[in-house]
Amino acid sequence: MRLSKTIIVIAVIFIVCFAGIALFVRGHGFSAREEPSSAETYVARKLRSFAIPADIRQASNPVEPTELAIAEGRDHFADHCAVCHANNGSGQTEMGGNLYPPAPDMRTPVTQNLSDGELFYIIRNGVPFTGMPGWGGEDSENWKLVLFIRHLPKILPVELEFMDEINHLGTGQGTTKTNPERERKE
Amino acid sequence: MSIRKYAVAALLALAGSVSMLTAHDAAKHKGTPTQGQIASVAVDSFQVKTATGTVKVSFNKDTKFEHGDDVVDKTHFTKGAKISVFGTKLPSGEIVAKEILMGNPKAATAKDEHKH
Repeated sequence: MRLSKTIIVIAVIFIVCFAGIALFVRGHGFSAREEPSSAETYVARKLRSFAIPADIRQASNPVEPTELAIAEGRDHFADHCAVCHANNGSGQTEMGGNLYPPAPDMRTPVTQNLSDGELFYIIRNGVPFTGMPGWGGEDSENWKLVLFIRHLPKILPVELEFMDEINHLGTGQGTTKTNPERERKE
Repeated sequence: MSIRKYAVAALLALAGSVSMLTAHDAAKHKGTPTQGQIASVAVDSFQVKTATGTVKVSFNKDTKFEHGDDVVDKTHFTKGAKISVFGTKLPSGEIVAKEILMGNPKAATAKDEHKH
């Protein structure tokens, strides 16, 4: 008798919550142009980190950070990544700025504090429910991309020019507001 | 007649594939090539005079040298030769060549390449 009462209470709570969510979604609609809530961002990042296998998370970059390796990563980034992430990694492109969640500013600690292994894993496998595709690709090329991502905070204007020669996306100084509805919180 | 047609088509397709294999490696092309004339030759580099100045083009074991559709040795390239260089530019301006072509390259741009 007591058990069935508990079940009924739980069911009522569940129905009320579901109805509340349904009413909210119905009345609110959806837009990928909105900024994800901080709770959503927090949970998503924790889940992402949790889902990356420990051995890969702790892996260090096997490619030496030579000038050539970084430059090769740069050209690769210009060719495949910059359309969303911008040549300077700011994420301020028409595509990246309007994704949900928006492409992160890769120069900030949010990205730079990820381990080499985490960056490698994300490049290779992508991130579900975001705009980040799983590229697969050759490991050595992906590790060079990791080197370049580490280099982004100190990228030189001449390197941005080289990237622009490849993709004609501009030198992306990170000042273009592609979605003024969003306030970047990173 | 129809068998003959198929045979000709197959031969053409085969010839096309062979030509694609021996021609420029589009996977090495990112952006537009740097074009110019060899001003001087060293063991592991050329100085190349371009429209905007002289640049150092260095090469390594992975660099491919081509004349037309033929792969050639680097000794084939001498002072005065007109070349097109596909490679990686270093911040210093030096180009580490992936592919050096003598003569005019076929239309090959970044759009040809999609390695991933």
